[in-house]
Amino acid sequence: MKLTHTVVTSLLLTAGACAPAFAGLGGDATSVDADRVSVKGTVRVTTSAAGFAVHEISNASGLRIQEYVGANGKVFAVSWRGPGVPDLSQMLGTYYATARTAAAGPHYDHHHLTVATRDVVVQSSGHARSFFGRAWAPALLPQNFSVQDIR
Amino acid sequence: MRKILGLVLVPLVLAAGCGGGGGSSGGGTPPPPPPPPAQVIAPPGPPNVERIIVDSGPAGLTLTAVNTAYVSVNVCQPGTNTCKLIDHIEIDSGSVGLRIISSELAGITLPAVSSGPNAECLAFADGDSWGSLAVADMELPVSGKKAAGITVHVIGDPSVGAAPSFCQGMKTENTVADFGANGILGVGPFINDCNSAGDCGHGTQSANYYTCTAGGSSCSQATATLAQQVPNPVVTFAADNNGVIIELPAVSGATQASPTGSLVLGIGTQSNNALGSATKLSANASTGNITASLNGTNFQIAYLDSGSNANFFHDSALTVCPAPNAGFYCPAAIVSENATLTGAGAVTLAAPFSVDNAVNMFSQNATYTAFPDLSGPAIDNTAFDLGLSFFFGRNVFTGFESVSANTEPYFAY
Repeated sequence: MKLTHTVVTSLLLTAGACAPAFAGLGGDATSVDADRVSVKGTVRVTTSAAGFAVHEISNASGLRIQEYVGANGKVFAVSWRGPGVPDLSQMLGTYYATARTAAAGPHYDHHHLTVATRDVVVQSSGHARSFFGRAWAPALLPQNFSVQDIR
Repeated sequence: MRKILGLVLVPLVLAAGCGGGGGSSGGGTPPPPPPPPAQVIAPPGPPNVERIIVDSGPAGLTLTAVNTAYVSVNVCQPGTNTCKLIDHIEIDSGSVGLRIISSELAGITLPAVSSGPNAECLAFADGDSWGSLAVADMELPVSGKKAAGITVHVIGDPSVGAAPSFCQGMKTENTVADFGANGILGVGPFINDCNSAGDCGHGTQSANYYTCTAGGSSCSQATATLAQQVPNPVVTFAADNNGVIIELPAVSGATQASPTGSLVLGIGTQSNNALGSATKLSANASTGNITASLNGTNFQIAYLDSGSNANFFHDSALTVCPAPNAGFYCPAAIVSENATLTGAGAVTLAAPFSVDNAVNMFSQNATYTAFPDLSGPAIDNTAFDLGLSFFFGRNVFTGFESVSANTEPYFAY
């Protein structure tokens, strides 16, 4: 596929994480780039002084996905913003089933959802043509990382 | 216990301490709001006013709906008088299109669309709805407004099979009990649910189209042409088709049982739907968003959405309710908020509202369904969502985009 990889900064990336690959929550960033393929996106990698990398995929329709990768190469958080909602089974990876089980039950406001379990937190909001969501695995968060920085 | 949870909670951990945001630097105090003009609610009736009720929702819900506006819709086999009157269709200015839970169509048979994709997966923020695409005449029973031969989404229709693995989202919302309504009338500011100006390519929007074999044993991704997409039914009316006004009465005190109001069709097309003294806030043409500020914090994604059952915004000064109501705020005492909304061209509009303790309000009377002081935390610090709470006591205009006139959507009140 015609995909462009632009590495913006790579300060703290380990050698293994240098290839901007993608995985769902909890996955190994070096092993999969299914998300990039599934949204037909281009990739940008930035890093933070806090020792994690943000892999960002954007596609032509304006969907932007971010995957937050810890120093151990594991995706500890993901977010999405844009006119649609990406495939959450892929975004949430092995946490998807847990999150869905937690979301089961009555919920009638179609524009907001928060699911919080010990293993995974998923938040989703938005209206037609403008959505935002994020998810993280509390056990995987780097020390001193604020979930408010998942944007 | 009742109650709609903005939050679905399984044990333990709650999204821990949401810092940041808060009120910081100046930016000046917004001017005090002008005294609001007396609200005039158009009485339901022909040719353009439908009756809204804010009640506990259709039979079959396990929780009481709160701050949810419903109308009744007459759904007819195209070109016939064979119709089914369906109550509790949610009015949602945050989505587009008529979607009906298939069980509510028992007794009539809607023909499948004659060409193009025959199934759709519609992603809401909280879950996915799967169903077939059919052709119907939609009549609003009080006003008599008709949309003839429009494409509608029949959610949970077995003719395209059970929800496939790719249409599960966080929840599947394919039954009345899961959806919270018998259907939804999306009167958001766009002319249809995907692309306003061309084909709906798969994977570009929350609306995704499919072509399925009979029974849904096999479904493939499809592109929907402009004409094949699910339209905003109001746009298809012969007149009064450029927007809607949701007119709900002020609610005395914190709560009130089942107030009724009006859905006025058209803006500036009749004597009862003039913009009048309302201020028009033009929105981003792609997203339908305006911006907002509150206590010195700016929000880049602001909107008024009748389908949100509270006002949702981040304010670290407000206490979030304990589970299972952690989707709402629970301040110790009522808090007055004075937000400012900004549309294109730096047009501003004061947005005053109050935030009261959700748990206290819910416990005051278990049968009440309208809570103007209900607010909750936004998950997105950049978002400011004025939901149905904000609509009580105001006539809120949703102006549709016009592709032919090249005009953007707008809000006004």
